[in-house]
Amino acid sequence: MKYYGEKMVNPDLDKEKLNQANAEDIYDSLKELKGSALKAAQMLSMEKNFLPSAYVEKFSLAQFSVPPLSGPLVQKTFLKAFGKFPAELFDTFNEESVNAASIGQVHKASKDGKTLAVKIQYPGVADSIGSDLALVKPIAMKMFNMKGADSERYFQEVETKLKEETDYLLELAQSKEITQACKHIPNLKFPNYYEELSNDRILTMDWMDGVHLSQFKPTSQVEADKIGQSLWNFYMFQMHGLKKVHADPHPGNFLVNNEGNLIAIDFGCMKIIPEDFYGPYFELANAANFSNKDALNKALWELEILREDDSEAEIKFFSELFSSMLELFTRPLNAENFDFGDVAFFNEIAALGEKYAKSSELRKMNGNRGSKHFLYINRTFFGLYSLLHDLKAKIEVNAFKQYLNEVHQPV
Amino acid sequence: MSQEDIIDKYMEEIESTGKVPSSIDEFCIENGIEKEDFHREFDSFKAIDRTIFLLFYIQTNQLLEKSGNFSVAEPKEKLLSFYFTFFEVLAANRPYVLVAFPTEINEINRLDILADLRKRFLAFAGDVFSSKINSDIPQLEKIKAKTYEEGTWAQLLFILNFWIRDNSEGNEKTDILIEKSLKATFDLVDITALKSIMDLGKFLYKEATT
Repeated sequence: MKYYGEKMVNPDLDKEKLNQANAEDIYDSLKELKGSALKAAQMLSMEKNFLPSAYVEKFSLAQFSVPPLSGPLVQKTFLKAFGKFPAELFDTFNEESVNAASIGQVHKASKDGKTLAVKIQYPGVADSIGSDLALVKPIAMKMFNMKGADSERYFQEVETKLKEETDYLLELAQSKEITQACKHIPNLKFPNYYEELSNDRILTMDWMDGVHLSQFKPTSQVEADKIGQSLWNFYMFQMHGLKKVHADPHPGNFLVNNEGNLIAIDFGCMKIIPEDFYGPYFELANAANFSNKDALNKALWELEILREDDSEAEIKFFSELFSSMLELFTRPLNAENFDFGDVAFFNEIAALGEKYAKSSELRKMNGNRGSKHFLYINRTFFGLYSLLHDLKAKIEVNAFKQYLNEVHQPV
Repeated sequence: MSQEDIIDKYMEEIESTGKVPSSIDEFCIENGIEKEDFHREFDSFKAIDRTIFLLFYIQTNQLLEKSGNFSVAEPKEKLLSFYFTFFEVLAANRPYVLVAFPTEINEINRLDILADLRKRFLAFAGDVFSSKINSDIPQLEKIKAKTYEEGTWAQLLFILNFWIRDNSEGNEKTDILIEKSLKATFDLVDITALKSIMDLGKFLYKEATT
């Protein structure tokens, strides 16, 4: 609506303003929602190169709009969970939360000489996921022009993942599993988790000293490369070694300590990569296949990017779209060394994103395509790339392979 | 037989049968209570209910006073703590409350079983909001204080009604309602617009009376 209104009075309306107006509309309808809608907004905001910059700013605001839990409710939550007040459970417990996440808040505490971070979930989050998503659904279906009943699978995937994120006991188990499996990767640290001080709504772990990755200012290229390489090794090891990956590479989920170690926190969102997705996905990512039209086509069908009910025009359009997208996105995977500080590479991604965001042709075509597993795997790659870009790190692409032989089974 | 014993037997009977005993005579016989003992303490079942709801308030208060910093807490924290604790006390006696509390419109006359609780609660609410009241125009501030007290009481009844229908695990939804409605209340009390309107009102009141 705003588009036509403003355009009539001001035909020279600049694109940024137009995007801004649209982003505000979408944001306004999203900000009324809490919890899972916030998470959905965060997911969209991760893909910042794919969305025009005006969207990103609005969507990242979404993370701050839940009011913190009151002191008395924190007390009550503990009383219900453990039959004790936080002051009885810990040696010290800071009533002021140190920061808010989208579904909970973190308090600093101490016990037996250890400093702890205690994450408490907002009540009712798990319950509201279904209804929140039902509200986002029509907006998303319209935004991405999704047709057909089977578009349900995307929403189901998001709903399942979000529900998992509200189960702190699952997060605890996943954290322990990853910590064990990745302990041989150098420069990588994880907090210890405390089962006896945790339940499905409360998660207690070591307080890790360090700066958030978003605030980390490397003093030299060597330092930036070291952190970037650890991040890269960590993710590639998970993708190829564990086939299960931390699918939330958000700068808030990583710290850097003063010994230059990367600390990974928050394992609420783990994505298992099924074999029948892993195969074609990384086959597509393999540079050799770009010239081989048949192999490319086969993978596109296997990954449900092309559909039985597609018109010839749609098959042609999406084959081209995905080849150019893939050639670009997989460039780092196909190099020996990759410089994520390369602005040209990210501009190219942004330009491609803008091109298709504006494409009236794309808007007319059915956007309901692609395996549901793309959602979190793409999010992981986008997140990883943008973290590495912020670091301006130079990466040795295949260095992670030396850790693959040593896969520690979870204890 | 003491007042406490009669209350215990009364609550036990309601919890096991799911309804108020049909007559005082029957209740006394079945529970081995002398009728004189009963009438010395209460003149009706309603009178027992009234006492029980007052006891809920007293028990809440005792629990709050034990938790150290209650007396020095901010008004909002105080009220929040009160609600959370009060509903914990009610939860421990949920089967009784579900029977005793009037939920149908034709039972509205039963609301007087809350009379004693109401008196104590209004005094408590008045105390909580006292810091939000300043006394430059006593007549006006008195109206304001009354509004806060009655408003808070209405809120308690509203939450109580919600709690009765709340089947969520551990009545978690009531916790959310308490959290959100108190935040809304205090946002309103602290809102600048409201203060400006009060300020304007004070000015006009002064002009009209002097």
